[in-house]
Amino acid sequence: MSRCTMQLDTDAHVRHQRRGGALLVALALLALGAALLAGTSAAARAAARAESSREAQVLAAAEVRVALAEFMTGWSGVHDALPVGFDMIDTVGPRQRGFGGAMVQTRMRLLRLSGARFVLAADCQVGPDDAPQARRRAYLLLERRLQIDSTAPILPPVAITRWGLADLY
Amino acid sequence: MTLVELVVAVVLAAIVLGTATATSLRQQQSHASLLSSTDTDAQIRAATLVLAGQLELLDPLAGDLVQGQAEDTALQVRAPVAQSIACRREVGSATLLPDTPGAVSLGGSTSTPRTGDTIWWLADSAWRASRIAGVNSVTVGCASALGAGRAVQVILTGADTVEEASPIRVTRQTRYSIYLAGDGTHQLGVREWSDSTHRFSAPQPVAGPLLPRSGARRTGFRYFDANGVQLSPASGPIDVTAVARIRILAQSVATVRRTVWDSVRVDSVDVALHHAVGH
Repeated sequence: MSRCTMQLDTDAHVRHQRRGGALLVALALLALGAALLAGTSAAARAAARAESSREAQVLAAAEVRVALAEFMTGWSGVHDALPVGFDMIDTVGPRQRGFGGAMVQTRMRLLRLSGARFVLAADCQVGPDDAPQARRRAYLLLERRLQIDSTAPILPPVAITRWGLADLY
Repeated sequence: MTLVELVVAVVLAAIVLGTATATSLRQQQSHASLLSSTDTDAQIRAATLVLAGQLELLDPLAGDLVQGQAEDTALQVRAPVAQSIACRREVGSATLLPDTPGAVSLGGSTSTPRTGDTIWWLADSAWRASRIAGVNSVTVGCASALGAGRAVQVILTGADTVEEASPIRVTRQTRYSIYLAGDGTHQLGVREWSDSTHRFSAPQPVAGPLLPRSGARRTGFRYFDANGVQLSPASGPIDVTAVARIRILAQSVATVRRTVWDSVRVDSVDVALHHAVGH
Protein backbone atom coordinates (compact mmCIF):
# COMPACT_ATOMS: atom_id res chain seq x y z
CA MET A 1 0.00 0.00 0.00
CA SER A 2 2.65 2.31 1.01
CA ARG A 3 4.74 1.26 -2.09
CA CYS A 4 1.82 1.93 -4.41
CA THR A 5 1.25 5.34 -2.94
CA MET A 6 4.89 6.15 -3.37
CA GLN A 7 4.76 5.11 -7.05
CA LEU A 8 1.76 7.34 -7.69
CA ASP A 9 3.49 10.23 -6.02
CA THR A 10 6.56 9.76 -8.23
CA ASP A 11 4.41 9.68 -11.46
CA ALA A 12 2.62 12.81 -10.42
CA HIS A 13 5.94 14.51 -9.74
CA VAL A 14 7.37 13.51 -13.16
CA ARG A 15 4.14 14.62 -14.95
CA HIS A 16 4.33 17.89 -13.14
CA GLN A 17 7.96 18.29 -14.23
CA ARG A 18 7.07 17.41 -17.86
CA ARG A 19 4.17 19.88 -17.89
CA GLY A 20 6.51 22.56 -16.59
CA GLY A 21 9.10 21.77 -19.31
CA ALA A 22 6.58 21.84 -22.16
CA LEU A 23 5.16 25.08 -20.89
CA LEU A 24 8.64 26.56 -20.80
CA VAL A 25 9.29 25.45 -24.39
CA ALA A 26 5.91 26.79 -25.48
CA LEU A 27 6.62 30.11 -23.79
CA ALA A 28 10.08 30.28 -25.36
CA LEU A 29 8.60 29.61 -28.80
CA LEU A 30 5.96 32.25 -28.25
CA ALA A 31 8.63 34.73 -27.18
CA LEU A 32 10.69 33.83 -30.26
CA GLY A 33 7.62 34.29 -32.44
CA ALA A 34 6.92 37.66 -30.88
CA ALA A 35 10.54 38.76 -31.36
CA LEU A 36 10.44 37.55 -34.95
CA LEU A 37 7.26 39.46 -35.65
CA ALA A 38 8.62 42.59 -33.99
CA GLY A 39 11.89 42.34 -35.93
CA THR A 40 10.14 41.79 -39.25
CA SER A 41 7.76 44.60 -38.53
CA ALA A 42 10.60 46.99 -37.66
CA ALA A 43 12.56 45.98 -40.78
CA ALA A 44 9.48 46.40 -42.96
CA ARG A 45 8.80 49.83 -41.46
CA ALA A 46 12.41 50.93 -42.06
CA ALA A 47 12.31 49.61 -45.64
CA ALA A 48 9.00 51.38 -46.28
CA ARG A 49 10.38 54.63 -44.87
CA ALA A 50 13.51 54.39 -47.01
CA GLU A 51 11.50 53.63 -50.13
CA SER A 52 9.08 56.43 -49.36
CA SER A 53 11.96 58.88 -48.97
CA ARG A 54 13.59 57.69 -52.18
CA GLU A 55 10.32 57.91 -54.06
CA ALA A 56 9.75 61.43 -52.70
CA GLN A 57 13.10 62.58 -54.11
CA VAL A 58 12.33 61.12 -57.51
CA LEU A 59 8.83 62.57 -57.46
CA ALA A 60 10.09 66.06 -56.57
CA ALA A 61 12.66 66.00 -59.37
CA ALA A 62 10.08 64.81 -61.90
CA GLU A 63 7.19 66.97 -60.74
CA VAL A 64 9.13 70.23 -60.83
CA ARG A 65 9.87 69.62 -64.51
CA VAL A 66 6.28 68.56 -65.19
CA ALA A 67 4.99 71.73 -63.52
CA LEU A 68 7.33 73.91 -65.59
CA ALA A 69 6.27 72.13 -68.76
CA GLU A 70 2.57 72.47 -67.88
CA PHE A 71 3.02 76.15 -67.12
CA MET A 72 4.76 76.77 -70.44
CA THR A 73 2.13 74.76 -72.33
CA GLY A 74 -0.60 76.86 -70.74
CA TRP A 75 1.11 80.15 -71.56
CA SER A 76 -1.52 82.72 -72.49
CA GLY A 77 -2.19 86.39 -72.96
CA VAL A 78 -2.58 86.75 -69.18
CA HIS A 79 1.13 86.07 -68.77
CA ASP A 80 2.02 88.38 -71.61
CA ALA A 81 -0.05 91.15 -70.01
CA LEU A 82 2.06 91.06 -66.83
CA PRO A 83 3.64 94.52 -66.36
CA VAL A 84 7.44 94.80 -66.19
CA GLY A 85 8.68 94.40 -62.59
CA PHE A 86 5.57 92.55 -61.43
CA ASP A 87 5.22 88.91 -60.58
CA MET A 88 2.49 86.29 -60.62
CA ILE A 89 2.12 83.37 -58.20
CA ASP A 90 0.46 80.11 -59.17
CA THR A 91 0.12 76.76 -57.43
CA VAL A 92 -0.02 73.36 -59.11
CA GLY A 93 -1.71 70.81 -56.83
CA PRO A 94 -1.68 69.49 -54.21
CA ARG A 95 -2.15 66.29 -56.13
CA GLN A 96 -1.41 62.64 -55.43
CA ARG A 97 1.55 61.14 -57.20
CA GLY A 98 3.60 57.94 -57.08
CA PHE A 99 2.83 54.44 -55.82
CA GLY A 100 2.40 55.67 -52.27
CA GLY A 101 0.01 58.44 -53.29
CA ALA A 102 2.23 61.18 -51.85
CA MET A 103 0.82 64.70 -51.91
CA VAL A 104 2.83 66.93 -54.22
CA GLN A 105 2.47 70.67 -54.51
CA THR A 106 4.44 73.00 -56.75
CA ARG A 107 4.44 76.76 -56.30
CA MET A 108 5.24 78.76 -59.43
CA ARG A 109 6.39 82.34 -59.67
CA LEU A 110 6.63 84.29 -62.92
CA LEU A 111 8.41 87.64 -62.87
CA ARG A 112 8.60 89.94 -65.87
CA LEU A 113 12.08 91.42 -66.08
CA SER A 114 11.64 93.44 -69.28
CA GLY A 115 9.42 93.60 -72.34
CA ALA A 116 10.85 90.37 -73.74
CA ARG A 117 12.32 88.65 -70.70
CA PHE A 118 10.74 86.64 -67.87
CA VAL A 119 12.05 84.48 -65.08
CA LEU A 120 10.01 81.46 -64.03
CA ALA A 121 10.72 79.71 -60.73
CA ALA A 122 9.19 76.50 -59.44
CA ASP A 123 9.37 75.13 -55.91
CA CYS A 124 8.09 71.57 -55.58
CA GLN A 125 7.38 69.97 -52.22
CA VAL A 126 6.46 66.36 -51.57
CA GLY A 127 4.61 65.75 -48.32
CA PRO A 128 2.78 68.08 -45.93
CA ASP A 129 4.09 71.52 -44.92
CA ASP A 130 4.95 70.43 -41.38
CA ALA A 131 6.92 67.35 -42.51
CA PRO A 132 8.10 67.70 -46.11
CA GLN A 133 9.77 64.57 -47.50
CA ALA A 134 11.56 66.16 -50.44
CA ARG A 135 11.90 69.52 -52.09
CA ARG A 136 13.20 70.61 -55.45
CA ARG A 137 13.59 74.02 -57.06
CA ALA A 138 14.11 74.91 -60.68
CA TYR A 139 14.43 78.13 -62.62
CA LEU A 140 13.99 79.14 -66.21
CA LEU A 141 15.04 82.37 -67.80
CA LEU A 142 12.69 83.00 -70.70
CA GLU A 143 13.04 85.32 -73.63
CA ARG A 144 10.52 86.17 -76.31
CA ARG A 145 12.07 86.10 -79.74
CA LEU A 146 11.18 88.90 -82.14
CA GLN A 147 8.00 87.94 -84.00
CA ILE A 148 7.74 89.65 -87.39
CA ASP A 149 4.49 88.10 -88.63
CA SER A 150 1.72 89.75 -86.60
CA THR A 151 -0.88 87.28 -87.89
CA ALA A 152 1.01 84.26 -86.53
CA PRO A 153 -0.16 82.80 -83.22
CA ILE A 154 1.68 84.11 -80.17
CA LEU A 155 4.14 81.51 -78.98
CA PRO A 156 5.46 81.25 -75.43
CA PRO A 157 8.95 82.61 -74.80
CA VAL A 158 11.86 80.18 -74.94
CA ALA A 159 14.41 79.30 -72.28
CA ILE A 160 17.87 80.84 -72.40
CA THR A 161 20.10 77.83 -71.95
CA ARG A 162 23.11 79.31 -70.17
CA TRP A 163 20.91 80.25 -67.22
CA GLY A 164 18.58 77.35 -67.70
CA LEU A 165 17.34 74.55 -65.53
CA ALA A 166 20.15 73.87 -63.09
CA ASP A 167 20.64 71.96 -59.85
CA LEU A 168 21.07 74.98 -57.64
CA TYR A 169 19.21 75.30 -54.37
CA MET B 1 -4.46 18.99 -22.36
CA THR B 2 -2.30 15.86 -22.35
CA LEU B 3 1.43 15.84 -22.79
CA VAL B 4 1.10 14.33 -26.28
CA GLU B 5 -1.22 17.11 -27.41
CA LEU B 6 1.14 19.68 -25.98
CA VAL B 7 4.14 18.15 -27.71
CA VAL B 8 2.25 18.06 -31.04
CA ALA B 9 1.26 21.69 -30.58
CA VAL B 10 4.81 22.67 -29.76
CA VAL B 11 6.21 20.78 -32.76
CA LEU B 12 3.66 22.40 -35.07
CA ALA B 13 4.46 25.81 -33.63
CA ALA B 14 8.17 25.13 -34.12
CA ILE B 15 7.58 24.20 -37.78
CA VAL B 16 5.50 27.33 -38.38
CA LEU B 17 8.01 29.57 -36.62
CA GLY B 18 10.92 27.91 -38.41
CA THR B 19 9.28 28.53 -41.76
CA ALA B 20 8.52 32.13 -40.77
CA THR B 21 12.13 32.64 -39.65
CA ALA B 22 13.48 31.23 -42.92
CA THR B 23 11.10 33.43 -44.92
CA SER B 24 12.05 36.46 -42.88
CA LEU B 25 15.76 35.79 -43.34
CA ARG B 26 15.32 35.35 -47.09
CA GLN B 27 13.30 38.56 -47.21
CA GLN B 28 16.02 40.43 -45.33
CA GLN B 29 18.69 39.03 -47.63
CA SER B 30 16.82 40.11 -50.75
CA HIS B 31 16.13 43.49 -49.17
CA ALA B 32 19.85 43.89 -48.44
CA SER B 33 20.66 42.92 -52.04
CA LEU B 34 18.11 45.36 -53.37
CA LEU B 35 19.41 48.09 -51.09
CA SER B 36 22.97 47.42 -52.21
CA SER B 37 21.94 47.59 -55.88
CA THR B 38 19.91 50.77 -55.46
CA ASP B 39 22.69 52.40 -53.41
CA THR B 40 25.20 51.55 -56.12
CA ASP B 41 22.84 52.84 -58.80
CA ALA B 42 22.27 56.00 -56.76
CA GLN B 43 26.03 56.63 -56.54
CA ILE B 44 26.47 56.10 -60.27
CA ARG B 45 23.46 58.29 -61.02
CA ALA B 46 24.81 60.98 -58.71
CA ALA B 47 28.14 60.89 -60.53
CA THR B 48 26.58 61.13 -63.98
CA LEU B 49 23.72 63.52 -63.24
CA VAL B 50 25.67 66.02 -61.12
CA LEU B 51 28.24 66.31 -63.86
CA ALA B 52 25.66 66.39 -66.64
CA GLY B 53 23.81 69.23 -64.91
CA GLN B 54 27.04 71.21 -64.69
CA LEU B 55 28.32 70.44 -68.16
CA GLU B 56 25.14 71.17 -70.09
CA LEU B 57 25.49 74.89 -69.31
CA LEU B 58 29.06 75.15 -70.61
CA ASP B 59 30.23 76.77 -73.81
CA PRO B 60 33.74 75.65 -74.82
CA LEU B 61 34.07 78.58 -77.24
CA ALA B 62 33.49 80.98 -74.33
CA GLY B 63 36.35 79.40 -72.38
CA ASP B 64 34.24 77.29 -70.02
CA LEU B 65 36.59 74.33 -70.58
CA VAL B 66 40.26 74.87 -69.79
CA GLN B 67 42.89 74.00 -72.41
CA GLY B 68 45.04 71.06 -71.33
CA GLN B 69 42.68 70.16 -68.49
CA ALA B 70 40.34 67.78 -70.31
CA GLU B 71 41.68 64.34 -69.45
CA ASP B 72 40.43 60.76 -69.16
CA THR B 73 39.85 60.95 -65.42
CA ALA B 74 39.75 64.69 -64.78
CA LEU B 75 38.05 67.73 -66.21
CA GLN B 76 38.37 71.37 -65.25
CA VAL B 77 35.39 73.60 -65.99
CA ARG B 78 33.95 76.98 -65.14
CA ALA B 79 31.07 75.62 -63.05
CA PRO B 80 28.00 77.66 -62.08
CA VAL B 81 27.75 78.16 -58.31
CA ALA B 82 24.94 80.72 -58.13
CA GLN B 83 22.28 82.36 -60.25
CA SER B 84 20.01 85.22 -59.41
CA ILE B 85 18.60 88.55 -60.58
CA ALA B 86 20.25 91.92 -60.03
CA CYS B 87 18.41 93.59 -57.19
CA ARG B 88 19.09 97.16 -58.44
CA ARG B 89 21.12 99.18 -60.93
CA GLU B 90 24.72 99.46 -59.75
CA VAL B 91 28.09 100.55 -61.12
CA GLY B 92 31.13 98.48 -60.16
CA SER B 93 29.09 96.04 -58.09
CA ALA B 94 26.02 93.83 -58.26
CA THR B 95 23.62 92.75 -55.54
CA LEU B 96 21.91 89.41 -55.79
CA LEU B 97 18.29 89.04 -54.72
CA PRO B 98 17.70 88.62 -50.99
CA ASP B 99 16.16 85.33 -49.93
CA THR B 100 12.63 86.15 -48.81
CA PRO B 101 11.29 83.55 -46.36
CA GLY B 102 8.14 81.83 -47.59
CA ALA B 103 8.41 83.20 -51.13
CA VAL B 104 9.36 81.17 -54.19
CA SER B 105 13.01 82.03 -54.67
CA LEU B 106 14.07 83.45 -58.05
CA GLY B 107 17.62 82.21 -57.73
CA GLY B 108 19.74 79.63 -56.04
CA SER B 109 23.29 78.73 -55.18
CA THR B 110 25.45 75.77 -54.32
CA SER B 111 28.02 77.99 -52.68
CA THR B 112 28.29 81.64 -51.67
CA PRO B 113 30.18 83.69 -54.29
CA ARG B 114 33.72 84.57 -53.28
CA THR B 115 36.70 86.59 -54.47
CA GLY B 116 38.18 85.13 -57.64
CA ASP B 117 34.86 83.83 -58.98
CA THR B 118 33.45 85.25 -62.19
CA ILE B 119 30.12 87.06 -62.35
CA TRP B 120 28.13 87.05 -65.59
CA TRP B 121 25.16 89.28 -66.29
CA LEU B 122 22.90 89.35 -69.30
CA ALA B 123 23.12 92.80 -70.81
CA ASP B 124 20.83 93.53 -73.79
CA SER B 125 21.53 90.37 -75.71
CA ALA B 126 24.93 89.09 -74.60
CA TRP B 127 26.46 87.79 -71.40
CA ARG B 128 29.13 90.08 -69.96
CA ALA B 129 31.62 88.99 -67.34
CA SER B 130 33.82 90.38 -64.62
CA ARG B 131 36.09 88.86 -62.02
CA ILE B 132 34.77 89.25 -58.48
CA ALA B 133 37.11 91.40 -56.39
CA GLY B 134 35.18 91.16 -53.14
CA VAL B 135 31.96 90.04 -51.51
CA ASN B 136 29.81 91.86 -48.94
CA SER B 137 26.65 91.05 -47.05
CA VAL B 138 24.29 94.05 -47.25
CA THR B 139 20.72 94.95 -46.34
CA VAL B 140 18.86 96.10 -49.42
CA GLY B 141 15.43 97.05 -50.63
CA CYS B 142 15.03 95.99 -54.24
CA ALA B 143 12.41 97.02 -56.78
CA SER B 144 8.80 96.14 -55.83
CA ALA B 145 8.52 92.44 -56.65
CA LEU B 146 12.16 91.60 -55.98
CA GLY B 147 11.95 91.80 -52.19
CA ALA B 148 14.12 93.23 -49.43
CA GLY B 149 16.45 91.91 -46.75
CA ARG B 150 20.00 90.61 -46.36
CA ALA B 151 21.69 89.93 -49.66
CA VAL B 152 25.07 89.16 -51.20
CA GLN B 153 26.78 92.06 -52.96
CA VAL B 154 29.75 91.32 -55.19
CA ILE B 155 32.35 93.92 -56.11
CA LEU B 156 33.50 93.88 -59.73
CA THR B 157 37.07 94.55 -60.81
CA GLY B 158 35.92 97.20 -63.28
CA ALA B 159 33.35 100.00 -63.36
CA ASP B 160 30.79 98.03 -65.34
CA THR B 161 27.11 98.84 -64.97
CA VAL B 162 24.75 96.05 -64.01
CA GLU B 163 21.17 97.07 -64.71
CA GLU B 164 18.30 96.29 -62.36
CA ALA B 165 16.66 92.90 -62.99
CA SER B 166 19.57 91.62 -65.09
CA PRO B 167 19.90 87.83 -64.93
CA ILE B 168 23.12 86.94 -63.10
CA ARG B 169 25.20 83.80 -62.84
CA VAL B 170 28.39 83.21 -60.88
CA THR B 171 30.95 80.65 -61.96
CA ARG B 172 34.05 79.15 -60.34
CA GLN B 173 36.98 77.16 -61.69
CA THR B 174 36.16 73.63 -60.62
CA ARG B 175 38.01 70.41 -61.22
CA TYR B 176 36.20 67.07 -61.25
CA SER B 177 38.34 63.96 -61.03
CA ILE B 178 38.31 60.30 -60.17
CA TYR B 179 40.72 60.04 -57.25
CA LEU B 180 41.94 57.42 -54.80
CA ALA B 181 40.57 58.28 -51.36
CA GLY B 182 42.29 57.59 -48.05
CA ASP B 183 40.15 54.50 -47.47
CA GLY B 184 41.44 52.93 -50.68
CA THR B 185 38.25 53.49 -52.70
CA HIS B 186 37.96 55.48 -55.92
CA GLN B 187 35.64 58.47 -55.68
CA LEU B 188 34.39 61.18 -57.96
CA GLY B 189 35.69 64.32 -56.30
CA VAL B 190 35.37 68.02 -56.80
CA ARG B 191 38.10 70.59 -56.18
CA GLU B 192 37.36 74.29 -56.22
CA TRP B 193 39.78 77.08 -56.98
CA SER B 194 40.62 79.32 -54.06
CA ASP B 195 41.92 82.78 -54.89
CA SER B 196 43.34 83.20 -51.40
CA THR B 197 45.60 80.16 -51.57
CA HIS B 198 46.08 80.26 -55.38
CA ARG B 199 45.45 76.55 -55.62
CA PHE B 200 42.65 74.03 -55.84
CA SER B 201 41.22 72.74 -52.58
CA ALA B 202 41.60 69.11 -51.51
CA PRO B 203 39.10 66.88 -53.34
CA GLN B 204 35.69 66.56 -51.76
CA PRO B 205 33.80 63.35 -52.59
CA VAL B 206 30.72 63.76 -54.78
CA ALA B 207 29.90 60.12 -55.47
CA GLY B 208 31.47 56.75 -54.86
CA PRO B 209 32.93 54.26 -54.40
CA LEU B 210 33.42 53.80 -58.14
CA LEU B 211 35.16 51.05 -60.05
CA PRO B 212 38.02 52.69 -62.00
CA ARG B 213 38.29 49.95 -64.62
CA SER B 214 36.33 46.89 -65.67
CA GLY B 215 37.82 45.10 -68.67
CA ALA B 216 38.20 47.67 -71.43
CA ARG B 217 35.75 50.08 -69.79
CA ARG B 218 37.14 52.91 -67.72
CA THR B 219 35.27 55.27 -65.42
CA GLY B 220 35.84 58.84 -66.55
CA PHE B 221 35.36 61.24 -69.42
CA ARG B 222 35.30 60.83 -73.20
CA TYR B 223 35.34 63.77 -75.59
CA PHE B 224 33.82 63.95 -79.07
CA ASP B 225 33.88 66.63 -81.75
CA ALA B 226 30.89 67.84 -83.79
CA ASN B 227 31.31 64.92 -86.23
CA GLY B 228 31.15 62.36 -83.43
CA VAL B 229 34.86 61.51 -83.63
CA GLN B 230 36.41 60.72 -80.28
CA LEU B 231 39.19 63.07 -79.22
CA SER B 232 41.88 61.19 -77.36
CA PRO B 233 44.12 62.78 -74.71
CA ALA B 234 46.63 59.98 -75.39
CA SER B 235 47.74 61.74 -78.58
CA GLY B 236 48.36 65.10 -76.91
CA PRO B 237 46.20 67.63 -75.09
CA ILE B 238 42.67 67.92 -76.42
CA ASP B 239 41.68 71.15 -78.16
CA VAL B 240 38.74 71.95 -75.91
CA THR B 241 37.21 74.37 -78.41
CA ALA B 242 36.58 71.34 -80.66
CA VAL B 243 34.69 69.45 -77.96
CA ALA B 244 31.01 69.19 -78.85
CA ARG B 245 29.98 66.31 -76.64
CA ILE B 246 31.26 64.81 -73.41
CA ARG B 247 30.47 61.29 -72.27
CA ILE B 248 30.57 60.57 -68.55
CA LEU B 249 30.91 56.88 -67.75
CA ALA B 250 30.60 55.61 -64.19
CA GLN B 251 30.73 52.05 -62.94
CA SER B 252 30.59 50.49 -59.54
CA VAL B 253 30.08 47.12 -57.93
CA ALA B 254 27.04 46.05 -55.98
CA THR B 255 27.87 43.66 -53.15
CA VAL B 256 24.96 41.28 -52.91
CA ARG B 257 26.67 39.22 -50.23
CA ARG B 258 29.40 40.53 -48.03
CA THR B 259 32.11 38.23 -49.31
CA VAL B 260 31.27 38.27 -53.01
CA TRP B 261 31.79 41.04 -55.56
CA ASP B 262 28.64 40.27 -57.36
CA SER B 263 27.80 42.58 -60.20
CA VAL B 264 29.26 45.55 -62.00
CA ARG B 265 26.75 48.34 -62.58
CA VAL B 266 27.49 50.74 -65.43
CA ASP B 267 25.82 53.93 -66.58
CA SER B 268 26.82 56.72 -68.90
CA VAL B 269 25.39 59.98 -70.07
CA ASP B 270 26.30 62.09 -73.10
CA VAL B 271 26.08 65.85 -72.74
CA ALA B 272 25.89 67.99 -75.87
CA LEU B 273 27.63 71.24 -75.09
CA HIS B 274 26.20 74.69 -75.61
CA HIS B 275 27.66 75.65 -78.99
CA ALA B 276 27.01 72.16 -80.28
CA VAL B 277 23.23 72.54 -79.96
CA GLY B 278 23.14 75.74 -81.95
CA HIS B 279 22.37 78.46 -79.38
